[in-house]
Amino acid sequence: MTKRILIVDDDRNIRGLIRKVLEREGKYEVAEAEDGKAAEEKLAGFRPDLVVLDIQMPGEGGYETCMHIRSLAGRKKIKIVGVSGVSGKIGDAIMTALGADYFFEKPFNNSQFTHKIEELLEEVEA
Amino acid sequence: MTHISDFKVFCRSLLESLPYGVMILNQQGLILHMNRNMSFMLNITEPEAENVSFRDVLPREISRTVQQMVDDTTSYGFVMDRRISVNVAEKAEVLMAMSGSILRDEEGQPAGITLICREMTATRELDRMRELDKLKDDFISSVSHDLKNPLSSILGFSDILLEMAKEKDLSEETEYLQIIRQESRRLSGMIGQMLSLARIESGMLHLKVGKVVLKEVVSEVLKVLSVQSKGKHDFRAEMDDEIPELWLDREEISRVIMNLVSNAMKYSPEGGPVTVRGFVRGENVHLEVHDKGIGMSEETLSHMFEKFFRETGGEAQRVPGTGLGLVITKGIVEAHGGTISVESAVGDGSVFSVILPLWLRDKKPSA
Ligand SMILES: Nc1ncnc2c1ncn2[C@@H]1O[C@H](COP(=O)(O)OP(=O)(O)OP(=O)(O)O)[C@@H](O)[C@H]1O
Ligand SMILES: [Mg+2]
Repeated sequence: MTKRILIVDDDRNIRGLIRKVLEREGKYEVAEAEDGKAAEEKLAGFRPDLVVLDIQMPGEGGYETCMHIRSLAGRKKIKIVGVSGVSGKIGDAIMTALGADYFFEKPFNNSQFTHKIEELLEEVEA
Repeated sequence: MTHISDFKVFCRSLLESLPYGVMILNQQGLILHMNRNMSFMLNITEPEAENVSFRDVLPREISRTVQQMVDDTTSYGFVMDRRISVNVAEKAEVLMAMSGSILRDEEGQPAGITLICREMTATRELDRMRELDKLKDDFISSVSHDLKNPLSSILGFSDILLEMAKEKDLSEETEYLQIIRQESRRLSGMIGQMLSLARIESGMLHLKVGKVVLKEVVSEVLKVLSVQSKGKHDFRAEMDDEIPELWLDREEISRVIMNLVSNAMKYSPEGGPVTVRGFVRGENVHLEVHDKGIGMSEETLSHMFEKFFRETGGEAQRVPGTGLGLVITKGIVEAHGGTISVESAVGDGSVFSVILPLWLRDKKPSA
């Protein structure tokens, strides 16, 4: 089955970039949300296998959203990949503590990004 | 010093003569020494508050701040000018700046914490600090968000475009896109440098330490830079096998070596040998970067570790750079408990020496 990925970032161009990078792989279904609130509203309907999550967003930021997703009781664990301009070490430490699976510091490398996503999604049962 | 023969007496009198409050704690928080200025500033009435925990003598809210200072100093190695305010009896609140650093024993092991306090009644200084404080916060967070986002789009999309142009065999487009990508990477590197500097200055350089084999890091850096040098320089690594694995932040130490070797390369525009030498001497690991380039004048030598300093007038001016490399390098080395020094003369090349304490073999820095 096609894996679903939800992109959460307040920057429209970054969402466009991540969408393009993922769609070039030709095997994912992609949706977007512009902040944490919008992301949480999309969870039930879209049922993503993986969420790409920015940290600094107006309103509800990535840390809160990450905690929210982890607090949901679900049948399968949604993968979370943090992507942010926050220093790699700090972002990585905090996101990992909050239960994210991986963290990329912006600017990230396109092919490293898609490789990691692919690797994480392989762990998700179909 | 002629009348003070006892070194202990000398130390005490030195501490008493300082215009700052000084408090020395051991790792359990016992006060080993506190000068009179400090007791006055923190409003402590006990005449001899020594060998007791600071928690028992300090007023509650100051005690809390001191605990915070102790925790932060323990995890970051030092804390610069944290502002605290104290209500001294009936007097109005007094603003102070407190700094903390790790005190080490003869073997270099953490033995306690030194706290230094200075009053900031001079309003000019206060204002300046507020201003700086604000700048620092705004700078770090806004650079992170506002510059890295557009840069990510530029880099990411130019990568995609480049792939598309290559697929379609568009050679002119490919060439221009490569320039865009290369220049935006350069920009990204510069932003990274500014952020490193801001973190070092605000005491927010978090070391992520692990066991590191220096020889490996050196050879990785040389590999990258020899590609950049396009065969002009002769890179050599002479790393003694005696050097043990050390607890270091690999990424940051790699940045140190990268900065020093790329300087060695940049400032020997005619090419020539660039040698990285590593060995153990006494209680330290030495890491030296030798070049036979343009060297430095006395003037440059005395300013090179200053922010944005670049030599003017000399040959170095023709080499592009921002003048931040060495400031960052020094900050990282010091955060690991090491030191850096230089020997150089105009036309004679330069030697940069990084000295790391051997205790990094068994112990994490500032832990
Ligand atoms: N190996 C060297 N030989 C001669 N001069 C040097 C060497 N390394 C540093 N310098 C001098 O010290 C100055 C400061 O060096 P630093 O690395 O901090 O900045 P930079 O190289 O100018 O810029 P960047 O921030 O890009 O590294 C240089 O501009 C240069 O004048
Ligand atoms: Mg430099």
